[in-house]
Amino acid sequence: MKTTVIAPVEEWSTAEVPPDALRLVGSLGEIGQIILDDERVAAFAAVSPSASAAVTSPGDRISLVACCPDPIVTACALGLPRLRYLDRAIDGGTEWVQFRPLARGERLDLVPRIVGVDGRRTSEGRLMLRTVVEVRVYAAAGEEVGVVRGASLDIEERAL
Amino acid sequence: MTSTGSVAARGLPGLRTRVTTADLTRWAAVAGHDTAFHVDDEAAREMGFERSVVHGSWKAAVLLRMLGDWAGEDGVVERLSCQYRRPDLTEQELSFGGEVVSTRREADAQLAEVRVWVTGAEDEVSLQGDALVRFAASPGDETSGLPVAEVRRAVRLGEVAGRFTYRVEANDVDRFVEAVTGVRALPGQATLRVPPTFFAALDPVERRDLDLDDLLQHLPHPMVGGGNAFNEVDYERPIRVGDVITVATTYTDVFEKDGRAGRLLFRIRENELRDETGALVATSRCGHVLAFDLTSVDDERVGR
Repeated sequence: MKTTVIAPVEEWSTAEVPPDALRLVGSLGEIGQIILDDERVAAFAAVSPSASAAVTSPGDRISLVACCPDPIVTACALGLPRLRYLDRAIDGGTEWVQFRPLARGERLDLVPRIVGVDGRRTSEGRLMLRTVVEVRVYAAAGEEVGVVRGASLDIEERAL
Repeated sequence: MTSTGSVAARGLPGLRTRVTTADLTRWAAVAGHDTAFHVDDEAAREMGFERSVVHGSWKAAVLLRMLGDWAGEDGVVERLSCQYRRPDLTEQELSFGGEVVSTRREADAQLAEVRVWVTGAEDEVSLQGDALVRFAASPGDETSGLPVAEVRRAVRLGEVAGRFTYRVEANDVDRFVEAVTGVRALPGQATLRVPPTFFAALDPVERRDLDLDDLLQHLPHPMVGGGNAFNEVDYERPIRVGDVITVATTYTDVFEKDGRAGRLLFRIRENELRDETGALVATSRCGHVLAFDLTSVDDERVGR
């Protein structure tokens, strides 16, 4: 009888990550640039509904969403690969960390990087690889104003 | 003005919305996330879904907007972390919600930890996350909470607050063992092995040799609880009978937060224990918490 050793659920490690995927960790993409102009700010305000009727001018508060709405999309657009060894790639989560308020008209640089690749078995024994990308956001003179992280999950449809 | 209590009480607004393919098409256009199964029902069906799948990033962006609206003019959402747990489909009603799970005060700000979520079909959570929102402190806030800044000054936060030297005697160890285990050493059979927990017995605060925050005994609000929140020790070698140990105590953090028992004040201290040669024997840490009922005033404490 064949015995399969399955790591406990939620235990992430690099044991089953293909070596060429591990070599991608640390890879930098191209540097992107955006301007927080009125059009961009208004566009993002318009596509996310608000619960508060009191906010009469939602574009006045600018969040990092307007700089980097989806770090995986941004990273791919700036030349980093999206890991696809298994059957299906899905988004696993997003984190925005903002260090200071953003102002209209600011010109910002976006620096994408792959910061980690690991994997685990699901409770059904399917392999799942996780790639974490990070987009650091810099203002003039190199001031870091925020960082956006995203997790991409690459999943087996069935356990081998 | 925003006080810590009112931050916790200031409920998040929540939002219910039915997402359409048109909503997602607009998001795809703005965010550049135009993967077919998010905007095309047919492409979604080929992947086994009944209809288009809502972008996780759209749900997260709506939450960020919700938090920003809640924070208002005096607040900033410093961090939002979201995990996408399961897909939601278009034409479903989604509920966006959140609750404050704790607050704490810093020198010039009040910080709220917020739990957020999105629920979809059958009220199953499809996204869960947490956020940190910073509110600017206003001058009136200090009077509505505990005197954290004053306590920090009193305990000389970050500096060595005192050094005390203790000789470890066999009868001290015996009394400690008896107090902890109920076992009394027989006459002439003094304990030679010092238990690891004896490090706590060399804490100048516990021994009442160092008392810097007496001001907390004189606050106008009744103290409704308290005790050690944690004790931990990293030791380099065991303590031995006959050791002469010098303990340097440093308070490393003082902060407050809301708890079930009331407003909680935490004081964290670290003891560095060195022997006669100056070699490090151990480093112990202790967190002590006191709970105050800020909604009432203790007449005896204010002399009424």
